[in-house]
Amino acid sequence: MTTIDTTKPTPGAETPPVDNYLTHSSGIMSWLGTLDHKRIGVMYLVSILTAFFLGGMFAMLVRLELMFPGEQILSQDQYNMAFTLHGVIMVFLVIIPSVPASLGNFVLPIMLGAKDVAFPRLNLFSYYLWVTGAVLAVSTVFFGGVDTGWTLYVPYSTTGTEMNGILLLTFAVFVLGFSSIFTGINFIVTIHRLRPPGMTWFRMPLFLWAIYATGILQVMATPVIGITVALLAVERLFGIGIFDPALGGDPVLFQHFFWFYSHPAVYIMILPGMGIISELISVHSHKHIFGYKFIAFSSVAIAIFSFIVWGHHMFLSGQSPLMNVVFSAITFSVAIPSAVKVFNWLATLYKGSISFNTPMLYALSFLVLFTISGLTGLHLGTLATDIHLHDTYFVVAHFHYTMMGGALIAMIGGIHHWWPKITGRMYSEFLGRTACGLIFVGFNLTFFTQFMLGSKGMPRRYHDYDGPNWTPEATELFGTYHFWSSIGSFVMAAGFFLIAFYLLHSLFRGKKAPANPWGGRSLEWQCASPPPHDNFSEPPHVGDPYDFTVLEWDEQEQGYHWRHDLKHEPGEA
Amino acid sequence: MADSAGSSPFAKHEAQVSAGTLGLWFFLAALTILFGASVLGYWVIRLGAGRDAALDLPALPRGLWFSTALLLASSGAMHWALTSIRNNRSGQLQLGLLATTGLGLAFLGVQTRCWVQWAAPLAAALSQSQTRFLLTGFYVLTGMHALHVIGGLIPLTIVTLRAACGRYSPSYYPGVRYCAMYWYFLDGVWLVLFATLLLGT
Ligand code: HEM
Ligand SMILES: [Cu+2]
Repeated sequence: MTTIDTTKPTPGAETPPVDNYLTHSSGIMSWLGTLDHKRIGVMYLVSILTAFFLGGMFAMLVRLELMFPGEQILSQDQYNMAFTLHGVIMVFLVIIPSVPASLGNFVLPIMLGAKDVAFPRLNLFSYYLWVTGAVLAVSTVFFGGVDTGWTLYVPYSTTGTEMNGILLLTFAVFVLGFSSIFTGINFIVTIHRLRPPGMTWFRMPLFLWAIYATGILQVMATPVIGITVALLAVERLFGIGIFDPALGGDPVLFQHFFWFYSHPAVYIMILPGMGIISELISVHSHKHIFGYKFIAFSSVAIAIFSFIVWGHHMFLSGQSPLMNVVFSAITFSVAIPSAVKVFNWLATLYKGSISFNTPMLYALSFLVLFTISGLTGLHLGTLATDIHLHDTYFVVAHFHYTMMGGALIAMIGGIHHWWPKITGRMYSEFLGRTACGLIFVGFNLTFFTQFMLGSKGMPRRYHDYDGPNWTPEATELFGTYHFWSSIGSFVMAAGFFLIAFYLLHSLFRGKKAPANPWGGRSLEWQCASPPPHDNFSEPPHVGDPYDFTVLEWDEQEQGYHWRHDLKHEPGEA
Repeated sequence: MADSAGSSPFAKHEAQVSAGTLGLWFFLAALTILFGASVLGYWVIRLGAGRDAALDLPALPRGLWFSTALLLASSGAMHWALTSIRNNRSGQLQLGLLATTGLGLAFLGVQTRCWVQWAAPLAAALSQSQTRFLLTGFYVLTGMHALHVIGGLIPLTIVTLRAACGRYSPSYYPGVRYCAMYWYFLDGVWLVLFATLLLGT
């Protein structure tokens, strides 16, 4: 696996326009051993989407099981394993690495005007760590499975019988953690040290600020989950009490450790998504982003705040009332920088000339869904209401609105935004908008009903809601909501399959993409689609990344150009 | 973070090295949090176990003092190697690196002896649930540290070999520099861990 890309970039020489990073060298090894950030980004993208498909299949199993009262297709044990694996795959394999590792890898150096990330080898190493972690995590199915939920709470994880599964999973999380740390370090150093002349901090596109803040979180928070799962493994292997109360350990300590990582981790998930949204909203409404510095600094503020709110996951764990009040108060304050962003985006849209392209539709979906998620987060952060809502479907709905409606929708928007750049092809706009609509409707049908389920008292992680322990009214009510929730998930699945279809189709039949199809001003739109092997043969022309007045539409090329009446051209082109 | 040749996105060597140094700082920050969290966890349980919990614990193996001395000495040797290459004394560089590696190995040897010494009390104490954690705390903390020492010995060996081939000069010695940073760090971590264990038992 360590074969090195032997082809050297031709320094300075006029590369023929046909040569790009895709055609630069060929053969499977030129991909598997590549040090090119663009190819590594594409490999991540393919791998992460594969994991997403797998996680989605487990979600379908769960939804099918819950669609009607009574046992449908999964036994109780199988059900527990299905939702655990769904959660593990989606959180650790998909959402946490998703944006930085795939799109971030692809566009970060180009946006910055650099040839590559600071440590290309480390970058490839992170990718293989991810692959190793992914294989380990998924292979737990063959070793008895894991049924603890993605949170691995003690004592489920210390006393269950699925010994090997837990051990494998802790190892997988550990390895994935290191992958994440190395990616974070790589991006931070790249942003510090590879900005070309003229690229000051405040000329960086906001996506880069978001990736930077995420990098800090990855480096500072991930070691804690590493040590947590390592201790868990030691405890399982040697039967010593660290977390397990039966052996003299402290289960609440586990929760503190776990959430000390996992709350910042939710911002590892959402910050890059917010970065994408800043780009999409500004580019597709052709209007300068409103409040650049506010958005940039709110990313950093969110990153810092996120370290001191973890206790809001533990209001009912028996921590002291004083701690509860403090954590609740700080939790509210996190909503402020998030809201700052939302208002800045709205202000950017205001009086913009909005093109309702597919990426923009995702950005608008994000605004709606993320607002709902943030507002319901406040219900959960309020002590009195959380006592009622904790561990119900309300929480499930809340975090799906954040992680799927927020982070994942942003990523899909980003994929559509940069697809022409990555592949050099345009996809069908009509199908793109249709799929976005399907997903938006399906998503709300699936998860809004879950807010209702939760406030009516349906607990999360239950295999069934029928039988002597449930009143017939409850069974009927929950049955209705669960039924529609499942229908919604099928609609969503249809949307995703449609996306897979037209994106793959575009690879073969899509129109050739121009260098700048949307009218973006950041540097990646200055190089060809797809970009050449070493991105820029000369240092690019760096300007305000959101000043769109210098561009004009070129009918013939079906893309945007530097305005003819303006003197200098961006870059060389 | 090895010095990558050929594929570097940096125009100049110095820029590459300074980026490598920055990256290593961030990595050390991550490791600080790793060890910090484990020490914190140790204290939470230690204080939860109450004052007397340590009474029926055997004393820490004496060998730990010796291994501490070895580790400090190896950091000294590392420092010597670093100043040697800065002043272009490549013979002393090689000697210093060899001494660092040797002392590091010796440190691991002494640690292993201490682990074996403590295995008997561990078996005896396994019946009492409170002392149990304190004993395993010892193994977890020292074991984690030892793993990082092993992890450091691998690049250190490579750098030692490279130094023997005369790869470094006063203006170019990134490998030596990275190893030195890491080695001082491990030394500092060990002192904190050792103090924790001394106070805890
Ligand atoms: C305005 C910002 C937010 C607030 C005030 C907030 C508040 C909360 C609270 C209080 C809980 C605990 C509920 C309980 O278990 O009873 C919670 C759960 C959760 N939140 Fe948020 N949240 C916010 C944003 C986010 C974001 C951006 C994400 C992810 C991208 C996220 C992901 C989650 C997850 C995954 C859980 C549940 C984890 C589990 O128990 O399995 N939240 N949130
Ligand atoms: Cu949280």
